Amino acid sequence: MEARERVVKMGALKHHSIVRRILTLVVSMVILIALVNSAVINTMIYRQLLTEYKSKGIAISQSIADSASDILLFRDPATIQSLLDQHLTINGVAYLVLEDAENNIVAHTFVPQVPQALRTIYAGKRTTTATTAFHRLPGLGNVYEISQPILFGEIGIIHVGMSLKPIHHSMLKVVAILIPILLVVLITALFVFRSRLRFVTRPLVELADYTKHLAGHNFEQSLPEQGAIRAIAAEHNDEVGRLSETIVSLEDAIMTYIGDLKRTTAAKQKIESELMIARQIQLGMLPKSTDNTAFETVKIASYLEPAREVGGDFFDFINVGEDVYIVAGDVSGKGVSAAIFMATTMMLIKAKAQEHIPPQELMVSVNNQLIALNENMLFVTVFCGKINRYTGIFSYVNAGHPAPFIKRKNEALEIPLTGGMALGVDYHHYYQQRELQLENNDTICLYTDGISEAMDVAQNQYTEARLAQCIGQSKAVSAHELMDDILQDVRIFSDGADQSDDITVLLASWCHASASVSSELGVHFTNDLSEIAKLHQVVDIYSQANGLTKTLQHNLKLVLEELIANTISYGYRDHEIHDIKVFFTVVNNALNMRIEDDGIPFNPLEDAPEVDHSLSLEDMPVGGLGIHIVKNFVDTIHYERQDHLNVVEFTKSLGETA
Amino acid sequence: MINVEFSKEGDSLIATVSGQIDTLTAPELQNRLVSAIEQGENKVVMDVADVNYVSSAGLRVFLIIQKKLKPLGHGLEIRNMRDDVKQVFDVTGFTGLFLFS
Amino acid sequence: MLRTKIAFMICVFTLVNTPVFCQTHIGASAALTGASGVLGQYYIGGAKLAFDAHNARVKLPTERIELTVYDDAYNPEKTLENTQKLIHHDNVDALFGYVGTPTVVRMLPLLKLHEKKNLKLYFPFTGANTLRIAPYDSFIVNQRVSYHQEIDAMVKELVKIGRKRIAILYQSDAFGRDGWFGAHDAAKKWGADIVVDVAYARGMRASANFTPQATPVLQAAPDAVICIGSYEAVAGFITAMRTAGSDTLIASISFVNPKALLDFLPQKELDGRLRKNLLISQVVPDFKEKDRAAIAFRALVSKAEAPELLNEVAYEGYLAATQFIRLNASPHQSIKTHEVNFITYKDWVWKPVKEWSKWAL
Repeated sequence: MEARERVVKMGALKHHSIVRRILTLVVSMVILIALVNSAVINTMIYRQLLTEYKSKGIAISQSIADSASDILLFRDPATIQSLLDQHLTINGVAYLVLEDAENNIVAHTFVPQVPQALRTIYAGKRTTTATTAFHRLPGLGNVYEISQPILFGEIGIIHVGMSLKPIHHSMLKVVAILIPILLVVLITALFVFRSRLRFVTRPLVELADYTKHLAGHNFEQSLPEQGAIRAIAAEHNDEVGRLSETIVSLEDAIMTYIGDLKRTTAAKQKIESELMIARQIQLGMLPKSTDNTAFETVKIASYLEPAREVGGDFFDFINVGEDVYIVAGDVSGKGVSAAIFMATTMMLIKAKAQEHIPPQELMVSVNNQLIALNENMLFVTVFCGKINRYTGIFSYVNAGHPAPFIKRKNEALEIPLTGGMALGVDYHHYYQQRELQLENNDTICLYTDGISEAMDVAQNQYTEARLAQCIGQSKAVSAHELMDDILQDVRIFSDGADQSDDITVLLASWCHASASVSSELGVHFTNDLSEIAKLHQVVDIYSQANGLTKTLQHNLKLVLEELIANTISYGYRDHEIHDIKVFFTVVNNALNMRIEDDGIPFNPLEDAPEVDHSLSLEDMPVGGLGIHIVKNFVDTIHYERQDHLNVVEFTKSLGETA
Repeated sequence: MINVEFSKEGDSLIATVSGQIDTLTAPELQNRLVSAIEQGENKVVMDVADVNYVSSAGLRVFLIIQKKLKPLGHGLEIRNMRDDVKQVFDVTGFTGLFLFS
Repeated sequence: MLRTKIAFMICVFTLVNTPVFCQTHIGASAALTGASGVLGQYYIGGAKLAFDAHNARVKLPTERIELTVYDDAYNPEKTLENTQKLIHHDNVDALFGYVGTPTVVRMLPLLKLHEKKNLKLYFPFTGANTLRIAPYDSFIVNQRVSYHQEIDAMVKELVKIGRKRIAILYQSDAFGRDGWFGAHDAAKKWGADIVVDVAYARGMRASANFTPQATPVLQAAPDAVICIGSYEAVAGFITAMRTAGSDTLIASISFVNPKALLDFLPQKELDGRLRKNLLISQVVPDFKEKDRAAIAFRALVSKAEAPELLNEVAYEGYLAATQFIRLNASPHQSIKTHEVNFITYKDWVWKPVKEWSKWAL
């Protein structure tokens, strides 16, 4: 309530200026009216009094003239003077002067003398009828003089001076009475006016406050003031009332609008958030780049940017056996339906790839399944290829997709089409497969038309030609660097123009296994038994790369597993992660192996128990077999504790290479 | 990377194993066979034609199975073992403990 | 006052016991307060000495003369009111001893109005000419010469010593206008010039500012000034003149009481110049003379232990009362009038003017 009072006060301050202006106007009007009124009244009074004075003066002068005629004839100045003195006591009579027929002043009421001005006026002046004149005399001010001849001037003239001072005095008195009355009227009027004005301005103040509150209102429900404003609308059958009504209905309209807006916004937000989830799911389906995998001959770099929340582009790469499948696709259309179709396609391909079948079979199968599921008549262009990690043989099918490039040194070679149709269109379509041999450090560049048809602000397309040029001229030495170069060039080209379509790039570079795995190799393992799988893989790769015999490969695998599993199982007393390093070297047609670990000091050759072959089955211990196997499968073996490391070295003759 | 499929041949349980029996796969193989024996199988034949690798951990599985079967009257019979795998049995003297066919 | 009360009580007693015969009842309206208050006190005081002596002397109540006095403060309207009261309420047989010209002039119509009552005014203390001409001359009994006669004698003497340029100070009322008129008449008669005339408002005290009156007179530089006014106004005017440096001869008519005049003209101020070159005309015999009336007056003053009454005005009142008593006893006797004399202030006293040559030009 306090806050509200304060607001009203602030409002009162604000509307104070308008009230003050109106009040000032009213005061000025009243003062003006008072002045005009006074002037009019005074003029009227003045005229009225002057008329009365005139008639009074004439009456006095006639009265004196009548009685003085006798007295003058009797030449009795004392009586005459007495007569004059009597009349001098009449209010308004300033002086009386009596002249005889010869213009001599025979009696007057001046003290000490008749003013020189009057003497001059009287000198030689004769009149036979009553005359009037205004004189200004020292000490008397303005005087209205009536000169009345006695017996037509034969006896003399009586001059009666009527002072205007009483008139002025009366006028002043009128003003003196008028002004307080006017002041009282004015003050009363102001009070009445002020209260009336409050009646008018109070709603305005409330309206102003209400409107101000509207500005900071959330419009979830009506302002508490709305009731008061409705009351004003009902109370005032005038402009203020109508204004109040309008503002109240404005608030209602805004509330309705905001409510609708909130509902639609909430719905939209819900859709958007679901789309965001869909986008995350979709992006989550895409595999991560494998560029850092040390033993891979195939290195992948990938990029996908949907134009909308969800897109129709996809890519995939799948490791199956010695092959890596690389896939890029683009579903016709965009948005949710495209995304779902894309996901379906991707899942089908992923599943089929696990069967380790050629791309041709894969595409035929996926096409058939997609057509069975495709009720929306969507289709998808797909490029699907399979790289043999060891041989570099690349077999592929292009189902209506833009022809990818191969970067070979400073050239961009277009991968020939296979004449395949987009998936999801023709049931039992036969997809032809082609093969080509990759050269060392070739990079296959898969992309979607989001790249080739990227627009600049002038609606020019990026084109395959420019992409080929970019790929050829790139100085990149890895798939990732090449991808960065391509995306950079596309961004420079579009120069801030909106991305109109999904953009997908998938790069796969291949390097010859023998080139990547030399006879000298150092591999790190951690103290986890799952590393045994990796160990087997490393031995397979090393053996293939160095042309080891299958027997030697098998035996090497067996020896290393026994030694390293032994170390992992028994070599550590803590639960920290430790490195186990394995070095491969070939010296004098013999393979030299060296294994280092930082576990507790342990000599497997001596600390492990020997296997006693004479024991019966029941007495045969389960442990100790591993070392026994190792000793039997190596040529030489040697243990050494070097500083904090256990070092085991063994040799194995290569014999005839494969 | 190991696969075990069971089948019956008369009163014998034929366990066809493929893949390699190493430190990682040995526990699974052991579980499958031990649970079969515990369910009452006392005549077990392991067909290891598709097993290309056996490490000491694998040898231990064979030993444990043999120890469980021997008191039941019939020892473990191993069929179609590859030579390079057999060499591991030979080296460790395990060959005499099993019936190879 | 005590005597007056006793007399009144006797009168009432007489009225109750002898309704047919009554004493002579006379009334007076006089200034007992105000600017001329002293005049009334002196005049009525002097008259009462005579009436009291008479009433003490007579044996029959009918011979008694009772005087009723009302104060009019020299205000003519008050005089009118007082006179009506005397006529209607007090039923006076005669009016006696009014003081001042405007006061008397104002009440004169009443005498005409009550002509049937044969009401007369005896011996007013004024020399106004109005009282001596038609239509009121028959209602008034005078013992004094008129102001006209007084001024006429004054102008005659001034012209004789060569002082022909004469200024006039007069009271702005009937009295002053009468004197003013007499002065103009006399000037024509004896060949003098009235070079300036200045009026003052009746009732002005000696302490009032008389510079407006003195200034035109000083500018005109007359040979002499004739004053027709009350003693306070004349004293004020003299002071203004002397203060301004003029030592010209200033003559006043007998309305001015010489003794009262001196009260406002201190000897010690202006090196005694205030009292120099002053003349006052006298229409009443000197009370210091050795005639029977003067001796009787002085005796009564002494007896009444009222030394303040030992002056000209009181003596005139005394003489007026004496004449009234005489006329009341035998109405057809002739009325004595007095000659005009002049006095001047010399050697700290007022003395009759014996030698005019000292002012001769």
